Amino acid sequence: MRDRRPANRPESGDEGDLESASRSASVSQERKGMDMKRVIASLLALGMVTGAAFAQGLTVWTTFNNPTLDYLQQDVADFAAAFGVEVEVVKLDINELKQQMLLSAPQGQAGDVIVGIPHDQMAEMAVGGVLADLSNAATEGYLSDLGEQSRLAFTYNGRLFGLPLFVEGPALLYNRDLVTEIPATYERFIELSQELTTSDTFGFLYDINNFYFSYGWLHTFGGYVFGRTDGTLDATDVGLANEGAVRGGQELQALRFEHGIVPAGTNYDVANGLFIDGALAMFYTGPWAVGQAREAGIDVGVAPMPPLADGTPWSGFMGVQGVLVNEFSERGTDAVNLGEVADAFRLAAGLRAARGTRARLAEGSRAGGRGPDRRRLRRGAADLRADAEHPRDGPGVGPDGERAGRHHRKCRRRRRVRSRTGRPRDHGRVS
Amino acid sequence: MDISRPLADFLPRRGRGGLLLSLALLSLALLIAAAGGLLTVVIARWFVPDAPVWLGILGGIATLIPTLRAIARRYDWILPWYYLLPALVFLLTFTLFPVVLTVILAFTDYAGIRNGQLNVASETNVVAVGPDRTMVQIADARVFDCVDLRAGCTGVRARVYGSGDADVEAIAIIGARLELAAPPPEGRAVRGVDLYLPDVGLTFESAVARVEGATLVLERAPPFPPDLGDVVLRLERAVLEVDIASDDGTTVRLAEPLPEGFDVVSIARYNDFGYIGLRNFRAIFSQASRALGPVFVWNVAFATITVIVNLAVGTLLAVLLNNPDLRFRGLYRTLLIIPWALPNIITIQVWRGFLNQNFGAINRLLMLLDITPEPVNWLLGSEWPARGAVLLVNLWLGYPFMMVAVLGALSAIPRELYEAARIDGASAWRSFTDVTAPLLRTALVPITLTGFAFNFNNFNIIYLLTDGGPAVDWGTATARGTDILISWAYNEAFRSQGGYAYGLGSAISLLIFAITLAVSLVNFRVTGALKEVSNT
Repeated sequence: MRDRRPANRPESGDEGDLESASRSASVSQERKGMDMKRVIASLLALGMVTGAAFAQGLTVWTTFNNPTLDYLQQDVADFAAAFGVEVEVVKLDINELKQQMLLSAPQGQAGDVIVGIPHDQMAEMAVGGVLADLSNAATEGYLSDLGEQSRLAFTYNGRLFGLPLFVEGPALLYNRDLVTEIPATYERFIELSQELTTSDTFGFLYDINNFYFSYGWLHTFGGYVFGRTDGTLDATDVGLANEGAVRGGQELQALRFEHGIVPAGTNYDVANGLFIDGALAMFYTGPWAVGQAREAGIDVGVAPMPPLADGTPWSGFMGVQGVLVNEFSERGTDAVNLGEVADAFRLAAGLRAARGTRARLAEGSRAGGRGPDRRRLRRGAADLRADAEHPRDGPGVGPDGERAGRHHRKCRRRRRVRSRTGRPRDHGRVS
Repeated sequence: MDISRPLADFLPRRGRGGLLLSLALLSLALLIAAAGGLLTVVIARWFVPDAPVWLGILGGIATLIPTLRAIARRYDWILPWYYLLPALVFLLTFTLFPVVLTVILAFTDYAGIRNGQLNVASETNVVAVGPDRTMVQIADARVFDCVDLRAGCTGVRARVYGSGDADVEAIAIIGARLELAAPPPEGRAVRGVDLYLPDVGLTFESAVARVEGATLVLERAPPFPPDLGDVVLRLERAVLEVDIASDDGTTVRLAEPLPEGFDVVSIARYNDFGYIGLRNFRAIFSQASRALGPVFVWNVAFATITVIVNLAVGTLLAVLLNNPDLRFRGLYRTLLIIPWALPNIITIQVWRGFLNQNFGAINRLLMLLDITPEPVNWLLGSEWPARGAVLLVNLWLGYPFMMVAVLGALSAIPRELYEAARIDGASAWRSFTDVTAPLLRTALVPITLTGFAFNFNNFNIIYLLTDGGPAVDWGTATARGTDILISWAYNEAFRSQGGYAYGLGSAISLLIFAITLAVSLVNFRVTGALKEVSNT
């Protein structure tokens, strides 16, 4: 029997209960001294039951934790009801998923749909041949609805291998008890950091040895990793030693040696620990740090990193998480459908509600720097405002009923557009 | 049992011939069992296509038992060997099989990006096909990407995609039933149909519910009468697998000509991997002065110093604790064993925090005591403080084991010897050097050797404490200041070259095996640990 599930599969759902029930049944029979045949027969029955269950449904691999996982479960339940397909959700560790996928997908043992994987892990899986090319599967309308940057993030060699879910990037987290003024320029930000660096508190810290964060300085002052030619990255055009990158590097150096803001030995754990203890005023980090700090009782504020004095907006790396489809999935069409549903449906709305700060952060940092997805971000910001007034109202049922309704209508329309064959069709052409 | 036969008939055959015959018989039994298992699966699949594979195990066991009985009937003396059979099976499965696989992989370029699968991302459009239909002009050589393969694209399998659309003519349409002039091509699923609606000047698309001969049943009827002369069938793409004879940038020559009438649209290549001889080993030795050499030297130094220091501290504490006059002995012993009892995954993280340059407890203590004027950059400066930190943390983690081992050995030394020494007027030091040390030696040699072997491949401490860092000028990106051989292999295999360079990683593993073997042999020779065994 092929085992489609990793060891850490959560014991939930009817099927798991059934399986464990029959397992314990077979054990107790053994204990009573039933003869060999009965044991073998029950083993066979167990195999048939589980085997049949695997043969039918779809398996979703996800890296999400609660509460996002709950939203995904709801999406999946909706999908299962609408399409008549059994779906099982399996949670995997984000660091293991790529390797699991590369090794087990060709054997037909991987999940059909992968939800919530950062875009930087996508290309390796695409080259390894385990991802389905979604360029022809997604409808034109659907694609144009996505942001340019997030679509590019899941495009490799001109092909779309994933459907973006949400964008995240670093911004300035600050402790409202310590910071009363949001700096308007980078220069003012430096002054403020120095003022707030006292014997009791640090003004500003971040994981300075981590290129993901420090790239903000390099990029804002004019450096870049790879240039773009004709819309794709050009590996021969490296901008990490150009004039801007050097200036950015000097600013980084000045943070420690000239301004005396970020001392040696600062790493992520140190900065995060100090921020949670209330001993750090400003912290350049991503949205994942907000929850922990709030739980520790810190009044967390989020602001974009301030622009430079000449008006150049702050920019840096962004991360996009999305939905991928297994190339070896035996139910490819269902998998693509589920992928789109999970992507577009309640999950997206739920994400904005649950991790609203993410969208705000992405907006704050002008994710990507090169032509941010303003339209999508504006929408995120509007949702956030609504969510801020009535937090934890759940996905799509916020006070902004008009918006939620619109969202649902849109999703319903998308679902209708998709035909059984999974081909992209645009009914807009026939009015 | 026939008691008239001599007892020797029932004892295992001795000598090399007996051993080989026994192993041959056991292998034969396993082979027959494997065949039986395979046959079970084949027969089961014959009746139930989805029959699970583990039926094969049941079938194998069912074949094995009568086979073993049949062999035992002919060769009585083999019965004791059967007790070894489960162990042999596990040895073959879990030891021999991975070893064989590692050896094979070491001579290939198998990697995450060369995994034998179709490279979906390499699909690029075909611009032109030569007159002999073997030359193919591709749109983007960078996307097709033959650079990562061991000999370009020569000999690599490729998948050629044909057009998915076909222009056909229809005869009539009644509701949603579209009757075509000719049935759609065999073997390719019809996904949908495009109909041009001249009345509104738009194209109508519909999925096809089913195909009945030349009639397509559409999912939806067109709202206006379509142009029957202009029907586009959307078919599953035609695919063709061919080998590539040679490639030169955007020109790819196929091993065999494309069939006439095959309308080529695009081409994708497989992630080909294969035998590359000693290239992995050559790559390792070409970096010997930057990677293999310094890493090996530090690895030996690390293992040696760790064992010596840990043993010294462990022995000292054990001798102190062994003093029966010491009060609260049990309490001290418990406290001193704590570092061993705590999971080192966690304690090493704590030590990382302690060793932080400005925020760590160790530097604060050192500066409070005025031992150093400036904080020491333990983990991120040059390699020497980092190596010191590794040894220090490993001492903290490792001395309890040595202490417990020495305590055990000490309790085996009779008290009378110390009494006799005291009566002879020996000092405490003298009784340690002349009584304790010689009697400890035999007990400690195996512990030292295992300690060395363990620390020689102690991946945890390096990976968790320094992660091989800091980066150094003399090293490479994968062999840095505190990297030992195994962490270097890990970096090469799983962190460079886009990850998962299994071939190269296997080659390094083979080298580490050779080195460990050599070091162990030298150890055994020097210490004579194997002598007694070989003398008996």
